[in-house]
Amino acid sequence: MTLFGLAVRFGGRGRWLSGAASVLVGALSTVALATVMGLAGFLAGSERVSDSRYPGPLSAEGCVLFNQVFDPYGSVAYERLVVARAEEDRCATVAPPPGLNDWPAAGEVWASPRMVELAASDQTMAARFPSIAGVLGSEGLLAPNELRVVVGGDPAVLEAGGFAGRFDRFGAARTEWVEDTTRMSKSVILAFGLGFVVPSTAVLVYLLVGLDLKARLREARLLQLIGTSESASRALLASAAVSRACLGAAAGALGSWWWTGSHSPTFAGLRAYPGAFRLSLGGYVMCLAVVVAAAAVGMTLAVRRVGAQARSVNVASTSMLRGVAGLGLVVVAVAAAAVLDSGSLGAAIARTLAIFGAIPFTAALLAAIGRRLFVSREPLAMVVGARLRRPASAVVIAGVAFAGGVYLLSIASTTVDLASTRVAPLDALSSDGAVVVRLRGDGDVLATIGSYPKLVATEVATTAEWYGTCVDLRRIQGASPTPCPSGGLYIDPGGTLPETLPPGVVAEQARGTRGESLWGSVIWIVPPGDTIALAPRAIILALVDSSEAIPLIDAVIAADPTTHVSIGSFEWIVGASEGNAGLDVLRWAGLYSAVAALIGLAVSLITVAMERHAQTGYLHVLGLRPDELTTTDVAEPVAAYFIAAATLGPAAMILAATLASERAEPAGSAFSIAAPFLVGVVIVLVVALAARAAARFSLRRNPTLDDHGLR
Amino acid sequence: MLGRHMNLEARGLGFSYAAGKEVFRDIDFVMRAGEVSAVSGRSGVGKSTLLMCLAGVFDYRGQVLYGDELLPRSRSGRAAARLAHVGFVFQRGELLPDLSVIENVALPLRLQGVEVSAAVRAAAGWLDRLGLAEVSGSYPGELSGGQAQRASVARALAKEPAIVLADEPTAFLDDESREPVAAALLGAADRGACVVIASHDQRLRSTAVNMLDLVG
Repeated sequence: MTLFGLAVRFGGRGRWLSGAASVLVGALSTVALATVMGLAGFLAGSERVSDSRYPGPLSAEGCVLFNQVFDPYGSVAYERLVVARAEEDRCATVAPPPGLNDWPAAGEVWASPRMVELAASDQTMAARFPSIAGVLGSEGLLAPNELRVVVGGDPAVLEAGGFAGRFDRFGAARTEWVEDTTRMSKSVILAFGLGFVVPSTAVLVYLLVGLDLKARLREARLLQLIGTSESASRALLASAAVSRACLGAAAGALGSWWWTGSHSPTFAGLRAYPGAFRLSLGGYVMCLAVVVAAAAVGMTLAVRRVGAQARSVNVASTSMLRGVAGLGLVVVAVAAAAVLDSGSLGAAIARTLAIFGAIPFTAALLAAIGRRLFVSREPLAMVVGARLRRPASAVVIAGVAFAGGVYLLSIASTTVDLASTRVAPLDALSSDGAVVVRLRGDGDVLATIGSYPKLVATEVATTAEWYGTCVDLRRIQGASPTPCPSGGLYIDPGGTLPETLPPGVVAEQARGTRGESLWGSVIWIVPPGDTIALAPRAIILALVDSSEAIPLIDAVIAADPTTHVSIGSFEWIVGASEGNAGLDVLRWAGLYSAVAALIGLAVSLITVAMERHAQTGYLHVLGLRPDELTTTDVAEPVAAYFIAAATLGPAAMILAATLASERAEPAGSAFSIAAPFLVGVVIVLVVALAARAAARFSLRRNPTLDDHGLR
Repeated sequence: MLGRHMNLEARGLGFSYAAGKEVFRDIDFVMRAGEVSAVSGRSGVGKSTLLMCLAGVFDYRGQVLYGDELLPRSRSGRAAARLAHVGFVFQRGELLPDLSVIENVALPLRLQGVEVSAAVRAAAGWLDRLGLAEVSGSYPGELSGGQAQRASVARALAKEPAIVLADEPTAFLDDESREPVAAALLGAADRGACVVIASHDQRLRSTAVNMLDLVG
């Protein structure tokens, strides 16, 4: 009897479609779950590497001398770590930096694989690092595409220079890598990821179970009629749905295991080492168990819901009251998301809640449109109206979910775009197109930089004291060249005058557009024409034309890779690139939502097309032409999506404008926001037509006359 | 509402399923307007299939003529002819679940562009005639099999078609319900419609002037 029941389950006409879809959804859900779990593993691994390679805590007796620099490179910044082992005997055994087997010699450059590639292919990197001694190992890198350089320093120079730190050993300090890089904690990222994946898995499986559930229920009743117990027939019913999802889950787990062995997705700007996202066997078993459990829950819910009415489509609630409440939820959620800090969990929840509000609103509006169309004299409009006024809940939910995925993607894209534009071009940093470059390193190297207006710190331990001419000072400040007092000037940021000033120094308020770069500094005025002697280790502030800044940095790093460089007044690129990286979370969530919702939409449409196949046939017999029948079939999903898109599209625009105003950036054009939603209409139309064709091909019959004969 | 009276004619009519199984071939007949014709034969011989071919739903071989007009080859053309001239009674009623009973009955009229109020008025009259006035606002899922079948008869006759094709119209009806259905079909013939009934119901078949016996 069991074998017969299983044969009924898996055999027969039309089963291949639901079977294939069940396997697909099981696989997709498992891959998504495994990826989220893999992400957790990747983040944990990254944190371990981050902890192991970072200096600290600082100690005056420490054996490791270091100077950490972040060099600008295009729209990102990379780390250049200058290190040396202290010369004391007790330090002979201290371990080298992670990724290196031994301490690098002075001036020796070790780089990440990506940096080595760039040094061979990119003009800037080739100029900065003409000679690379070796490649950093994976123990010292978050990912092979990370831009990182370790440079050997001269311990005597580092120590004498006064600007190097000392610490006992690498790996003694804890870092906040995840929080610093993604602007979210690991638990928030995981909660966000699982919050998207697990419910959508359950919903997809629920939809799938419904794909041919009504036919299966009839068969279960048939089995009962010929003597199978109710529990046994239900068990067979459940086993069919769950086993197919399980089969898909196993395929998904296997596929995920295979793929992650040689690939890894990009997250936080890093393409991890192969295997970083691979789970343990137990991890894959857990993912599989979650999918199977979701299938079982979906099966139970679907059986309960379908139960008594085996021949009709589940109709969405079209209550106008609920529709108004749904619209209210959208408005409140968008307002809350606009008011809350855009990076907060509360704002993320509010954005997501807007999608839930769109569901009842879409259903109610569809029904209202349907009622209007139904009284039309135009026959086709009347038939479409008849369907719209009682829309299928699965189609409405899937349509809104797809629009919701596009909406999340749209917000993520806007945020990413805005974060990217935070990196202002260098020539926008000052009205005269010049920037202040700060160089700290070997005096002989710095002496070669050319005749830029500059201030020089001759005692590197007291960098708040500079020497320069009055003209150079004013030009660096971006102020009109006016006479200066002889002796010295203290640049007062305003109200923070120190109690004592060196003799002969006069305080004055910071002046000019770049005055803040000298806040709190004492400038010793040098007569024009005097030569300022550079110490063996020195600091220079040079006013450089913005187009010359990067080539200057390239040149000094090439001459001495231990030189510390930075650009004054420059909002550090590293901040923006970390922000971009953090937004990968949103991008992943939005993309997954859109893909999962699209699959859900396809499954829903196949389900509904199969359930309405007979009705379509009756309409054909009554005289509706094939093209009219197609129109009636696709009108519902297209209209549901269109209404959802028309609701969530403006919401996305409002949030985009809010995000833009937060950063004083112009909002993206309305078209750039609307375009993905408009493209969505075409996608839904294509999916609807494909689902209809798949359902008809599966049923392999001309317009049907008898639903009973179909299954 | 009834258009011009028209005969229903088949010339060399044949039908095979896609798998190649032939159901019938080379059938010729003329069923006249104003008469009831019956199609008989054992179960599975192809009575319903024949009606579907005559309605232009299935792709057949040969020719079907409504009056002097040859039924077009295209599915769209056949659908348009069906909408204009044919009322079809389904074996199990087969009402659309999204529409109430009265909306189902008014549907063919509305598909022809008749105004809502006029279509509903006509539908209400037919429901009353067939004893379904009290369930006119119900949905199909709430009807018994017999009620659904009577509603299907009302739907087929509401637009007063020139050709009525009825597939087992009394299969699920008790004696009391059978009478108004039979009367309605005969009434359609009296008004000039060409009525074709496929039925095992001996009493209904006895009302037919012409008899087409299908043999497998």
